[in-house]
Amino acid sequence: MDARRFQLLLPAAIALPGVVVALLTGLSGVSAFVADRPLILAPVPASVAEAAGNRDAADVVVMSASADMNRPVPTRIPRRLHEPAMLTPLEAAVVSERGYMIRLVRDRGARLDAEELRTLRCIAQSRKDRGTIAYLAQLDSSPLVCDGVSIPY
Amino acid sequence: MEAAAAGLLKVEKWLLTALFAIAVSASVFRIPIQVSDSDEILEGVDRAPSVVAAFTQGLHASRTMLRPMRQTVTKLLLEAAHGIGDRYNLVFRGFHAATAALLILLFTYVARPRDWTAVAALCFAMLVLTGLHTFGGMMREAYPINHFLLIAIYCLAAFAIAESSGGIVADVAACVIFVVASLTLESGLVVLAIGIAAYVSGLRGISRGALIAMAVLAAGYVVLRVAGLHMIGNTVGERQTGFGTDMLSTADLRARFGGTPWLLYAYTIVCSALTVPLSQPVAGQWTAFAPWDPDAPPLFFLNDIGTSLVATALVIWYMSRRAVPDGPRRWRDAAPLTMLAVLAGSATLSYAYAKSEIMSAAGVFYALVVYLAVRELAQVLMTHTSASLRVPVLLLVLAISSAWSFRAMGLQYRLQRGAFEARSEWVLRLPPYSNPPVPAAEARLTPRLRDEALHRGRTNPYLLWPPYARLWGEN
Repeated sequence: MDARRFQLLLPAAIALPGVVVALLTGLSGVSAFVADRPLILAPVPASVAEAAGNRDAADVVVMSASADMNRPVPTRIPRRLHEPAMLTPLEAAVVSERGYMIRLVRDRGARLDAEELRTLRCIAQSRKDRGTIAYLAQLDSSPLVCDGVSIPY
Repeated sequence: MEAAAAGLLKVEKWLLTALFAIAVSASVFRIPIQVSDSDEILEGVDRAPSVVAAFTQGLHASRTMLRPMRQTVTKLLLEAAHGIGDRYNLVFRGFHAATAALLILLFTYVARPRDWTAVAALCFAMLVLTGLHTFGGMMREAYPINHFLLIAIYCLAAFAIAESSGGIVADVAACVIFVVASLTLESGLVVLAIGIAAYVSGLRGISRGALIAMAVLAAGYVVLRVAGLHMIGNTVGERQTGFGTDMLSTADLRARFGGTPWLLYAYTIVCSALTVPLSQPVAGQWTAFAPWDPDAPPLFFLNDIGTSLVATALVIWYMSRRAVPDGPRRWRDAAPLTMLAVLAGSATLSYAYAKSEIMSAAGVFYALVVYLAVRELAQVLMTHTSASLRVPVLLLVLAISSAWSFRAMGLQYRLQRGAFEARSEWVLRLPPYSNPPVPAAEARLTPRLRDEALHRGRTNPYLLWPPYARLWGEN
């Protein structure tokens, strides 16, 4: 490589990654300002069960006004499940391993009968999450039998 | 021809700056007003009948913190929000976004790139500026205004004044900035250190008379704090802080350092000074050296520390050089000396507890010196690199610049994550899930703030793939 070309390429090598970042994030920022939607790390449309499974307390509150809080729907929880599963918001809340989320989903209208509670306890048991196990044990501390309960994932 | 090239250069540097500014400010704007550190002060300041009353309220808000400008600016913004139909998020988040953009614009103004090599160096320095963890602290949270960001702006503005040709307007502006900065946050006192460092290095934009006036004002600040308001300094256990690989609670701190506070203070000052050039420790805690989860090793630490070591080595190389043979070494130049002054001053002021945000102004000046160092290194490499080394040098430079760009992209993730968490707070930090920050009977703004936050949908980081937290960390 001759000296002249090197003198051209060196500043380019210094600047290129920064220019790429500036263009990517700058244009994404313009989109966020104009359309309230960034181009990078954009919001992913989600159901109320996915909100419950992915710790989105705010979306659970907002969506609960119009969504069926008891209907199982295909639910993505990338941190907990390898594949989407058919879950109710309450089941998704247990899979999230956050006790507060179970309470929130119940407060927002999800029904919890004895059979559903048993399913939830079995899900929590299968995940070995102490927090949700303890939370659900406050609701029903009877001995847990999971025979015949199908874990929905 | 030369005029056209100069015009193109000007357009390019400001276009680049504008893109970085828009990128950061757009993400900052998406973060809702927080519950923690914001709701209570907003409610309190809103009850103040005037801006002067808010300032007075700020004088007596704490026994250790003298920050009345926090209440004053909050009151001004609240009045603006009331004036346009109680649109609090628009005003407060807009103010934060605008000040974020202003910091980046000021950075370019102070750097003054004058050729293409300098613009390339500026591009690299922008990655360092926005990629440093100290920068994130200025953007992610607000209380409800981010006074650390304001301090960084005041510091850069003071430096810009010192670089100017001076005069009575410059002197008055420097003194006003010092007063406003020191009443915004204790860290604002470093504006005086900037004035002195700039003067010692040969800049005369702030005259000796103005420096004396600032010193008198600093003395007045001490008198106001100690004799007027009977305030005390921070003591051990006032806030949690890191020690070694642990984050110690206030109770732990009192138990371990109650009898030997100097040990904690010395540790915290040294660690605060180290966090800018090394990216570790974070808030006094050596997070990179804590036990790693073998299933998800936080490899971003390697990139953070590695890129910082390279940049710091570059800064040391630059500061040890001389502009002319037998001339003074570059560490005595204005920008490096000011960086050292801000680093030392900010670290000293954070003696009782470490916090990345306190070091954010030092991080800005660090990025400025990186800019100067890269510019000089490029010139040296252009003239001294042998033919056989040119390709390896290019690849190495590209790799280092790419590693910093990875860090800068991490800021975007952290800000989106911050927006998600701030929005969730409006459910989880209020009844029935937590005690309210303000009793319901006194909460005049809270219902509207909650409504605004909940109805601004934000990116859920837990739904994204790949799991970006592994790339850039949780915070």
